[in-house]
Amino acid sequence: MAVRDYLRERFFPHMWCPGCGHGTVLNNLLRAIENLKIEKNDIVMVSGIGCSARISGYVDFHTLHTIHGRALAFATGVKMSRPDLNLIVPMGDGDALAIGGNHFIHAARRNIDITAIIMNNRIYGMTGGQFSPLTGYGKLATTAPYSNIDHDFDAVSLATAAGASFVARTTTYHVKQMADIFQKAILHKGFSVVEVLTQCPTYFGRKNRAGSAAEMVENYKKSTTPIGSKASQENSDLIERGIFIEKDLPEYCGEYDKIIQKAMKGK
Amino acid sequence: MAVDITVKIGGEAGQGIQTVGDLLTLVCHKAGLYVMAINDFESRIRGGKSFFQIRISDKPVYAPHHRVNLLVALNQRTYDSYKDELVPGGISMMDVKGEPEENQLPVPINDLAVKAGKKITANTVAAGACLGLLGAPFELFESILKDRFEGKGGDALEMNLSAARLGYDSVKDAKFPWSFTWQFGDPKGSVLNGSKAIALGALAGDCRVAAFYPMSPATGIMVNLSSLSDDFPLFVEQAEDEIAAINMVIGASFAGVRAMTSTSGGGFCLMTEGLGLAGMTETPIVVVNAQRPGPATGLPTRTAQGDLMFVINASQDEFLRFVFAPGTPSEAFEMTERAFHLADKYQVPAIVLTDQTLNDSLYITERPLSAPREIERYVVGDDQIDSPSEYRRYAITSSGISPRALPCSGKALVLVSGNEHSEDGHISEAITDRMNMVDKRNAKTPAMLEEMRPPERYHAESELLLVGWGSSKGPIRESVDRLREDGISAGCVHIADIWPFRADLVQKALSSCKSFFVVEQNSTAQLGRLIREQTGLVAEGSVLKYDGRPFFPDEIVRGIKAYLD
Ligand SMILES: Cc1ncc(C[n+]2csc(CCOP(=O)(O)OP(=O)(O)O)c2C)c(N)n1
Ligand code: SF4
Ligand SMILES: [Mg+2]
Repeated sequence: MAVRDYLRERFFPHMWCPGCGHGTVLNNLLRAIENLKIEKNDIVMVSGIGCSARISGYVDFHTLHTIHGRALAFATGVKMSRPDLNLIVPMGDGDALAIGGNHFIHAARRNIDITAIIMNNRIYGMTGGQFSPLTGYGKLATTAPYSNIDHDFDAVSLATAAGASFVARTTTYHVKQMADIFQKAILHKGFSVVEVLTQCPTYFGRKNRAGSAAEMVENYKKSTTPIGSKASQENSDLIERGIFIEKDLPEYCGEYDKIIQKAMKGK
Repeated sequence: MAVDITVKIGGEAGQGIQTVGDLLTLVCHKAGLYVMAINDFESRIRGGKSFFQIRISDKPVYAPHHRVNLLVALNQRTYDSYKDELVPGGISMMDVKGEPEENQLPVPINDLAVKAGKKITANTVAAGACLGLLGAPFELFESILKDRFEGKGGDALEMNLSAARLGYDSVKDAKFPWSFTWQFGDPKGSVLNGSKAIALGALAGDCRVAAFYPMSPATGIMVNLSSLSDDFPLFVEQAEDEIAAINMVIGASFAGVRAMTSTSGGGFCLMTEGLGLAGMTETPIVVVNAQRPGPATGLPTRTAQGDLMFVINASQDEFLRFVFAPGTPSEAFEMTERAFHLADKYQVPAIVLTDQTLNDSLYITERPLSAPREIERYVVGDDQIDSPSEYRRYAITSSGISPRALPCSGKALVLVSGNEHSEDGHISEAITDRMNMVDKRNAKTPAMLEEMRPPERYHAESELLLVGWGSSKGPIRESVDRLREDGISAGCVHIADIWPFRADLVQKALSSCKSFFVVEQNSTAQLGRLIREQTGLVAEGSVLKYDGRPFFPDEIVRGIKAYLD
């Protein structure tokens, strides 16, 4: 199947602003799925609310577009009922870690086999540029006109600490890496978290004078570095990207099966 | 000649429709005209279809009009979508490629903007052309642009003035049938939308802490409050979600300051547990629910009146609360202030129920906004308590209101619990405590009912009454005028002080009519059901609209006439 076959082109043009990074994420996600040759019928995409969450409207899979912050809870329900399916949950930074923060850490703790993608544009795009838990100290947003005093989460550390068994970070500049990480994340048995640094030129960019979309993307090249690189050791301001955690841990549905067998023993 | 003109400016989100609309509004206001403007947009940041529709009149207007005199089409799609709304003789001003249609007035908006210096001045060009067609003196527009761009630095002012002039002059020879002479005296009142009115009302009510999670169409309230926090002792916190927001607010109120949160449907759902905590702990809070169509995410940027039954009943079991549904920005201002006052006085949550139409539309508010001279906090200090060391937060009183001491402000120890409790606030499962506390909380009912003001009546002696609540007040009133012009004995009743429900006053208001109809923006006539439940009176019928768009008087007139035919 070609990438186009995975798209619902009848709903194009898409709703994202020119230069928005969310389209790049969609593109590479589809590439990853195409490479893995997963049948449409074996995928369910669940999303919440936000510009990022609208991704589920453009893929030609079975999709569940739900409510803000709760996508992982729905996905958990789907996965527990049909453990054979591939669950993909793209989320905005607010969707995943503000209103959805609680579901996020608990899904990670369960290590349930879901691929969670955090499309981190450091802002609430959909509602007009309010700061998010990933905006970061000193940045500007419509609700932080004098600069933000909230410190940001490190999504990678948070996911790791919460127990996710696959944790990675990439950016909209590094598209090859993105597609590759998506593939690995989908194949991984357990809770996989992929943070994608993605630009919102309209709000984060404009508020913080981050330049055009192209400049913001270019900046991902300059401001990030592969995990453990020499550059990283020399300059701690650089953000590391790559796969941080990839380990074999008991997966939730598998564990549940064992419990069922235990309970059913002799019956 | 009476002025009543509707201008619709349409295009994609991000094209600056709002800017054109704002400029027109400001110019009209400055000229002493009245305006009412609605904002229609999709839940997306760029593209799609949106419009700003402004009604300009020499008399007060509180409702939009369904027919358009002048369409400003910033793209072809706007023309295609709305040309049928044009009144006969109405024109669409736009960039036209090729031969114009009869109702099109070609104005090279973008070329003129480039000529003025930058493409982004297209909005100023469009506003200039609009005002030119309407016959507005250029100097008026000039002065508004100066207010807006002076001191912005660079050549912003110069460029916009030149854009304005180019737009204005481009229609010099065009004929617009509704052009009028601009002489209406001083500006009338001020231009206000519901969001700003609520923010100002909160200030007038001495709000010191506001916590929220962004959600359309409520976010504007907090953005307005944030901007006011520069000048007032006010703390505005963006929380991680609505659950956190309402609980922060309860905490702030417990600590002793007036506090509020604002949200819309789905967010209000998340707040209901906290609302119950405020009810159980008798902590005064103000919650604004700006309605949008639901359930779930529904239509995020659109309007509805579907949460009436919900807010009256939200959270488990039973507890008292106030519910107010203002019909205009000035009512929104006053009711927000009153909500703070009454929440404090009765130690209950107070809910202000608005909607996207009221929050996002621009109105001219003539009634001056005034804050109370003094804020009565209804709290006691040690000196007002007989024996502070034996203070009981939930002491039984005949009014049900227990003297409220604030924590850490004296000897009186303040214990509060969301579990059922004894008079001293300690958890208790004793039957007598449970019974006493429920009865004590409910004992506030008669006094709270006394606070509720009668419904507002208009031609109330009529045979036929239209009954509504909230933001449909303006459209309902105007439809009454129109029905009367057609010789129908019609009046209306607007219920804004909704809960606790004054069955006696509503009964009285509806007692002399032959029949009444409810007019609401939901699909099951919630107010009609409430009136029936509370008074036994049954509406003859209803005019219901639940497409997410605001009411037009014309729709109400047609809805009522359909019953009469
Ligand atoms: C319960 C609830 N609260 C608030 C909202 C409003 N809302 C919708 S999307 C959003 C934030 C979007 O930000 P993010 O998740 O970072 O996605 P982005 O738009 O930036 O891609 C908010 C606050 C909502 N839909 N539901
Ligand atoms: S507002 Fe930001 S996140 Fe939303 S579509 Fe536009 S660029 Fe993308
Ligand atoms: Mg975001």
